[in-house]
Amino acid sequence: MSAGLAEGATSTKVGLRREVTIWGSYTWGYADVGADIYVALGLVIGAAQGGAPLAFALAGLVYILIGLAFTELASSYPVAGGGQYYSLRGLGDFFGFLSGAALLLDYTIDIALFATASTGYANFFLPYLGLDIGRFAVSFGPIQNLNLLWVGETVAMIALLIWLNVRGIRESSRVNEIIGLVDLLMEMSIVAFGFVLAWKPELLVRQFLTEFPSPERFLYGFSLAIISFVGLESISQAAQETRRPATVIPRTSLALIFTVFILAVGFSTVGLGISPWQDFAARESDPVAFLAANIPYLGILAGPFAAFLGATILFISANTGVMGDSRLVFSMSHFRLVSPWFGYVDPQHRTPRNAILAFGGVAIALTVVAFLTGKLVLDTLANLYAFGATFGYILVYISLIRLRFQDPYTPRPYKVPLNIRWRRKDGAVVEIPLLGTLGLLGVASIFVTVLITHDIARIAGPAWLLAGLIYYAIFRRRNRLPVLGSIEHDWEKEQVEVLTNAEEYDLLEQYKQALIRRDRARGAHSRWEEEV
Amino acid sequence: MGRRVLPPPERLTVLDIAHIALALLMVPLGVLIIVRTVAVAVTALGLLVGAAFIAFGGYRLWLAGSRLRLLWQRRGGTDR
Repeated sequence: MSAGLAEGATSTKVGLRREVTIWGSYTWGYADVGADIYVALGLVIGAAQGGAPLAFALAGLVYILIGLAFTELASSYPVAGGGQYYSLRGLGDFFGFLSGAALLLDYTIDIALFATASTGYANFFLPYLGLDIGRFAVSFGPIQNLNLLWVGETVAMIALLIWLNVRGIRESSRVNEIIGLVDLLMEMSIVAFGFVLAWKPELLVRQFLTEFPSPERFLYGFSLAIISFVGLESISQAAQETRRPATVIPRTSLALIFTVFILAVGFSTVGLGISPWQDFAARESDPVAFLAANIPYLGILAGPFAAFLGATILFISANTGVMGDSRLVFSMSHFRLVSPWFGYVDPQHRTPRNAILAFGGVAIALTVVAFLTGKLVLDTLANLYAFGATFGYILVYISLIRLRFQDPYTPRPYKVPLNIRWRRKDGAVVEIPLLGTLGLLGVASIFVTVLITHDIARIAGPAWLLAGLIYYAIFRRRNRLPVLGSIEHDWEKEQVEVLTNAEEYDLLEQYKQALIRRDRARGAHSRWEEEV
Repeated sequence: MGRRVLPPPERLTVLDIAHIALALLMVPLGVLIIVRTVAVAVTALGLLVGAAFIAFGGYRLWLAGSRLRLLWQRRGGTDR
């Protein structure tokens, strides 16, 4: 996390510094995605039981396809906004808002979920202080097992994040890189030492063969497993701050996709070969620390270290949620999808204060509501996280396909493989993405599974979107803007500016030449001819 | 608009070293998973996970080899 949103400006038209390097881009993404397994491991094993590694592997395959789509879009359109921007560009204002609303849900849940998980890992140390977390649980009326200490810690952490972000205090890129690297080494070490020193394949095989869950539980676990891969889009969120994005993003993004996939599958495989699935289900709040503590010889140190690292990286991830919310809503206000109130930049601290306070407040409210479900707190938040992520990914995939037809002129430094080339009448070559279509079907299948198997997400997710749409309709009507239609955007000019700012001059040249060829094929004068 | 080839690396980065280390770890781990799970029972899970580790490690090693070759060519002045 590096450059501020409001770099030396108090208006809503602000630039972002390009200072994120290859390693910075990778660790930025890793600090976000790498943290997911700390939350997902216990939840998915609890749901998919002996079939957990298979659930992780299947969700991971879909995630790889999603990752490839993000890699193509982020390197072609290196601007802040991520999925919301792609939907706006490919599908228009209405779907741009809808995608933004889903992502806002995800970032807000990100704050609540990762702050809850971070304090959960911090509570690993309570027994060392002679405290038992269970003693702080209270029940009254219909509310059972409300843990007052845990909810208090989590709300305090979110309040701290809000304060830090409003004041513009954030960890430097260097801190992020160091923590990302230490976490990567830690996760690799747990997997490697776990396999070498403690892994019992007979336990894994026995659980797979005799404790495979019912189809409904397995599908629930499979759809929850997608949360272990959410966050890759932070690379695209950072695209506007990345140096030479067309070169850097494909490299870091692809490396990240495969690293996270292999670690997620590795953790679940090694975990079920060390302990029964019931043990992980009982340790939903700190499963990675539990796993590390069970490695012979190293566990006495690895357990507490994993807990400390988990608490730290999850705290950073929760902060990514605050930053993601503010960046996204800032971008949405720029495109007049939400009120300029959200894009207001505090003149003293140069931060988007209103956006941070609004969505930080929502995150606190969601956290308290989730804690009212008692022991299902992480499960409740993960439900909503899966809903927002999969809905947003569907729109990103549709945008990818649409943009291949609508904007074949933008150079794509990376393309999702397996395409059918088709030359249109205007001479432009459109590449129809076969793997992209498969990815769309994959993510749609997870979304349907989420709707079928997640009781909370089925109601709360669409309710969030509906509330957002009502707000959108009122805002657009009041400002005499089309509700279902789009404001006219000069995307070509914007793309030229984006590539110019990114200093991707060869891509800029290719882009202008493609536009000139298109205009000539139409027999029209091209406005780009004078500039080449 | 063909796919743009990535430029040759300018130096060996921490990211490269981390990926080579990860790849070197994954291949023997994959073999270990397959051998030990097959010794217990032949299951799709053991084979798939082990194969995924080997394929991932192999791919990353191949990629690292290509990058190191480009770097060597660049330093040797034979960069094309």
